[in-house]
Amino acid sequence: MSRIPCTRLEGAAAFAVALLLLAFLPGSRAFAENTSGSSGDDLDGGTFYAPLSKKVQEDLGDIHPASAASIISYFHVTASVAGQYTSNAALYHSKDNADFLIAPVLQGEFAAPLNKYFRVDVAARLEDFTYSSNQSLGFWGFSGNANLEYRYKPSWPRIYVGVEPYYYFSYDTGDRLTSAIGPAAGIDQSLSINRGKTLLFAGYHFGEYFSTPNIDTRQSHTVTLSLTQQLQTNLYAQIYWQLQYSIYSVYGRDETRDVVGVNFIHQFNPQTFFSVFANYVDNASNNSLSKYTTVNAGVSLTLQY
Amino acid sequence: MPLPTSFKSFALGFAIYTLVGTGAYGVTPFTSATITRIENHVSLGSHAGGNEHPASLHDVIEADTYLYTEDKSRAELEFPDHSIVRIGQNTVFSFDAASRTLSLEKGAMLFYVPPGSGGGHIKTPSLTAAITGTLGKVSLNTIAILSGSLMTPWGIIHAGEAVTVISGDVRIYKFDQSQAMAGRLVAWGGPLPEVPEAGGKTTAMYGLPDTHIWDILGISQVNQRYHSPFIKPTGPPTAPKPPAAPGTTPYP
Repeated sequence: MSRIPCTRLEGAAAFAVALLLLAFLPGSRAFAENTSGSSGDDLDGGTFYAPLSKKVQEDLGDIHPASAASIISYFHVTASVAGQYTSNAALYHSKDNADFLIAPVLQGEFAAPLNKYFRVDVAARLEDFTYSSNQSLGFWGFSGNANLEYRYKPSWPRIYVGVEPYYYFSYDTGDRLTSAIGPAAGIDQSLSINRGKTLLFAGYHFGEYFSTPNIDTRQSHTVTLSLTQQLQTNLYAQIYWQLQYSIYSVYGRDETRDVVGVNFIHQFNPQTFFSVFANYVDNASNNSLSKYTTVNAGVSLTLQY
Repeated sequence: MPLPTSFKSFALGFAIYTLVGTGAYGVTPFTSATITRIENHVSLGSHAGGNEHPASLHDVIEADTYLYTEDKSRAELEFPDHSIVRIGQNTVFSFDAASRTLSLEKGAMLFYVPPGSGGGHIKTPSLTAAITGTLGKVSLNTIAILSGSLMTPWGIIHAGEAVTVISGDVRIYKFDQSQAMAGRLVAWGGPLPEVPEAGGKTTAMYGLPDTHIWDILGISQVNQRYHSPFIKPTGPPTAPKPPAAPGTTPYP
């Protein structure tokens, strides 16, 4: 299969530029038109607003003028740690190489609307993967994403373009394990049914990753479907299926990865989640070195501010 | 002499407000509502004469009834036209059938009136406004619109804007969008039809499956295997092979 990465990259870049232009031109104008007809308004808000009581803020959030908003309010920090059993630590065929994996993640995120249609979402993560027995498999590093998101109406699908870099180091050698930067795009949609007790999600994600070493240079297409059910006020069950098809430019690898899983999530408060999860991963490949299946189960705790 | 823009806007807003407010549509009145969610201590009473008693899930309440919530207590009501009202803690709420008016006497509420259902009114001690298909947050002197629009005598309030009345002074302003999906009433009870991602990332329900780990693990472990001097990659005969490290024996 012939591939012309540069052409695709240019196409993705042109698409991103076009979306950026749309974000800053018609959206801004539309908002100005919307507000110009109001009488007696004060769209900057100034200092005129009624601070809500703590109880009301707890229920509604803090309704205050945008001009009084601190830029800090658009930053969020998330810390999570997952501990999981994996039946195949080396991810090689269906080898019985069970291990216990600890994976803490620290994430900083900036997410803010640009106007009524567009928003930006930039996240950076520091990640660590430590195996209990197979310590040479452990690694750590950074990953992130910077996306421009578009949604015509709140209930319409979300369309996004962006870039996704990552850089990981091996614990065993101390050297770079892999790094890449990838233009990415996707579309997804959530649908609330059953009076809000059930949330359906479907999404498609495309990524073109240019890797060093180039063994990981690839193009991937990912489809994700999930169903989340509210069991109790703060308890949710989620089942999901993800299919990812990747074409690697080295060794002519074509891979299809299926992931099916179930999560039970308990939300202690808006800042704290605890989840119990299990999943099965089947990675089929035309190259024997890349085939694997694994079963995993574990728990995770997430704190976010 | 041309009329001032502010007067035109007021006239337009008042005309629309009056049109909607007089029930120009053939609509279903808010004769009753069903309690679809309840948290802690919620009571019902009659404006006609006391008789306050605890409310229960699936109770059907009539238009002459008020609903009262205590501290850390909340309720969700659904009307026959699928309009939804989520009532916050320490709140007194009632509704009127014919004029389809949702009245907040104290506290806070979130309302969702589906587009095409005939609209209605929002009433607080400080504010009265008309709605069509709208999702918004209401406190005693502020209404913030998340989706749709709100018609007031002072103009139309669009999504992303709020109107506040303090001692008769009115201000319409863009509110801080980082707070749009904040608040327990937005997330409590699950996503609202108009904004399925209501609650954003602060609610576990909106969390997507985290399969990022499989992208990383698959790449890293398989990558290490390809770089191992002891394993010889298979693949198409024409595929390049990684060089074996000096002094090592390639896997047979």
